[in-house]
Amino acid sequence: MEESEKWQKRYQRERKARTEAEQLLEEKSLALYTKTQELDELVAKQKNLIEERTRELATASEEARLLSDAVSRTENGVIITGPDNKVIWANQAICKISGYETEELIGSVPGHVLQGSESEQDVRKYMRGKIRSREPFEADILNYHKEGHPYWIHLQATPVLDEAGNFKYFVAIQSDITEERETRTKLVSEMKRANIMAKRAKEANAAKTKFLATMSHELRTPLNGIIGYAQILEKSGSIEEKAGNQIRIMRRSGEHLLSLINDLLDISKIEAGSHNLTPSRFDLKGMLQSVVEIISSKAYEKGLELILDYNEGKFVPDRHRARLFADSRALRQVLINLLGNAIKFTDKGSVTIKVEITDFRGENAILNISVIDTGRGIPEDKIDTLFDAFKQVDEERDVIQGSGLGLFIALRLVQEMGDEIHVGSTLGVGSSFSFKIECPMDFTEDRKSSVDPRNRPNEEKFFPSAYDGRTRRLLIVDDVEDNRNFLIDLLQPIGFELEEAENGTEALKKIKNSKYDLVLSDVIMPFMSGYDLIKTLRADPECKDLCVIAVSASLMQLSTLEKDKMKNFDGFISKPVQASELLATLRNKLELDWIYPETEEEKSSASQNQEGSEISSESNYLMRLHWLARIGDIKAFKTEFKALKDIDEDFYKRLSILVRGYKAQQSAEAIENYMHEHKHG
Amino acid sequence: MKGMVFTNFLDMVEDKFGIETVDAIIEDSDIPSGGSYTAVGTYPHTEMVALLVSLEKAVSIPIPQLMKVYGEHLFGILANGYPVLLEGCETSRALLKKLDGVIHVEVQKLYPDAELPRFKAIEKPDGKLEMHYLSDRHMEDLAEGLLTGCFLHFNEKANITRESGYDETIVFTISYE
Repeated sequence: MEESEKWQKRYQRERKARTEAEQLLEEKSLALYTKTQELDELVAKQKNLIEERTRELATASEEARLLSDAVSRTENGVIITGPDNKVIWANQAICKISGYETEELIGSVPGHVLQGSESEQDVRKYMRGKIRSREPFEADILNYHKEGHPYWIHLQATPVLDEAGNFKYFVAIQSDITEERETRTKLVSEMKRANIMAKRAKEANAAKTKFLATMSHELRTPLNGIIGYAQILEKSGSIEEKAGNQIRIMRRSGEHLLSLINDLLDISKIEAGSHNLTPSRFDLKGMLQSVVEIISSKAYEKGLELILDYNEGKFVPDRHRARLFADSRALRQVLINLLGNAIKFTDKGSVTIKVEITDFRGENAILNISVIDTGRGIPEDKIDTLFDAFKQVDEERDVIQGSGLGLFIALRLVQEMGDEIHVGSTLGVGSSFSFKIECPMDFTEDRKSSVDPRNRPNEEKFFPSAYDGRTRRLLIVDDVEDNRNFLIDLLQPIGFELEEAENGTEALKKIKNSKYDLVLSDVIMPFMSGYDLIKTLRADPECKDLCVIAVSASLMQLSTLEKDKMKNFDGFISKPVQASELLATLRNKLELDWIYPETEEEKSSASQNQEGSEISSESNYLMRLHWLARIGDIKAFKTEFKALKDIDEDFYKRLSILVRGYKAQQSAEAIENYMHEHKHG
Repeated sequence: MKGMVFTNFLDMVEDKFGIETVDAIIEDSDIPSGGSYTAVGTYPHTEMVALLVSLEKAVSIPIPQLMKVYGEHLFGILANGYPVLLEGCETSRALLKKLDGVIHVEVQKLYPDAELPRFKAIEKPDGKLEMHYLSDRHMEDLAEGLLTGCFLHFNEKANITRESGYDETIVFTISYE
């Protein structure tokens, strides 16, 4: 190989190596450059991060400065305690409140320094428990100033945890509530005083109510004698007309006095809040008819028509009667009060009691009840004050009789039943008072008309003189002799065999030794009360079925418990005894048919008439129509008066016109005249 | 194998046997690189084997001896070229103990593509030092030369014995005088 060729090769080798080295260098440089770039970016990023952190730190430290400023200067005391419950920081306010210097507080346990003998132990225990379990809490506690005087604080403590959830320290904020506490203490004592006063007032009111109840009982007992004997005399049929009128006045005055006493007692019970509704099942139509019966004499005296417009709609099945589950006594009283009021302010025309069953869903029925009159009407500006208690007494005492409490009592009772009384009135045309009640309703079979045409009409004029069948033995139990005498005087002439007992013990003895059909017993008596008597009788297998009727003046003052005890009796008659009520009860319980004395007219007509039974049945039919018209039961009247067409078509047509116009009173008069003309009793 | 092993090898051949020998062994070995090496490059170790075979033929000295001589020479070059790797090592024992755990780790960082042998030092209770060499390339002669160069560098005297150990490990036992 030539020398030059050798050098050529050597040169090529070196150049190749150099190129390779340069290439590698280039690659390394690029890698280095890239790495540097990456590093720069990383550095920039870190720098930003550092700046951000720095800014955050600055903000945080500013916030911390502000917070620390605020906490230091707040009026509320702030204490921070560490895990060993010792103070690690306290603000100026706590020093001002407690009197201690910051240095004295730091390192101490707050409870040891600030609380003392009067600080409530239970609260301290509660606070210690919460601190131990690191739970937030609030408490009011009595603290002591360094100089010894106590002050009240409201303490609000919150545990502060680190990010890992470990307890760091407690921050407790205390506010001085000494003044607030004092005000509250004063308020509490004032309230206590007010409560005592209210209790005293309530007791006084209850005492007043009790007094009134007792007084009413005391007042009723003599009234029993007055009204009772007036009734006996009035209906004995052997009194001269003048004396009869005087007796009637006597009886009415007695009844008026009784209604005043009842009103006063009712009002005092309502005012004392001790009146409660006691629902029971009762026959709606029967109740309405009895209300009409009671009130009909008043309407009759003023020459007013009294109409019962009873509409049970489609809700009551055929040959059935509706029974309501409600406080019948309250409902009855509302109706009597409203009707009494209507009659009082109506001089001509009619008073209608309209009762309509408007709905029956589930077992509840809704009834619309209105009392509508054709009276003078009520001025609009008087309607609002119509129901105020005692109002009328002040303004119209001279003009109108009565306590003026009737409407007030009616309203309160209706309110208790869940509605208001709505008044509509037009001057010179009339007024209407209406309300709604909702109560459970069921039905019973209508076996027999409650009206017995053979008996009822003559009851208006006379007491029965006898009854069909064997002699019935009655026992009268009452500690007041006058009361016993009245019952004896009333019942002996009718043919009852009567015995007396002065109290339960004596009655029991007599019942054991003799057999009675029925017992009329007073309730409140010495030695053995009516309650105990009935209890003993019901427990004795021999006497448990004996019919015992309670006769008492105390119905108004019965407690719920006593009302319960009353259920043991077979019936109840209130004192003063209304003869008609007593006789109706006896007829019902003993299943009696009354025989009435014949008047002179009847006697003569009986002898003149040879047809006898036929006329008698026609006459009975007319008497029933007359009675239905009198009580205003137009619906029943309309059904029954159709038979009149067969007796006297002319009279039937005349009567039809009156019936279509709901003129019950005029119908009654027309029948009366007809009977007189045709010598039907 | 790192380029610097080749460049230093060829430099040594040129120094000891003349540039003509360099040309001859490159020609003879017919290696892919054509004998063109740069110190920072990486080349297949088979080229080194081929060059050694050609050199043995050209100068009539057996390969193991050639490699031992080159190892002795190479240590001097490395010690001068990379003084940082020797820092803190006052004796060959200190250096050898750091070799596998410290120095080779640093070399690997500098040249991520370098394929280094395992060369682990184990102190024996009798004061001797065992160097356990393991490499697919079986350059144990070069390793022995390097050890000799190392002792020369620290101006120490030591005996080296060599035996085969477990698996393909070669164990050099060094007894210092």
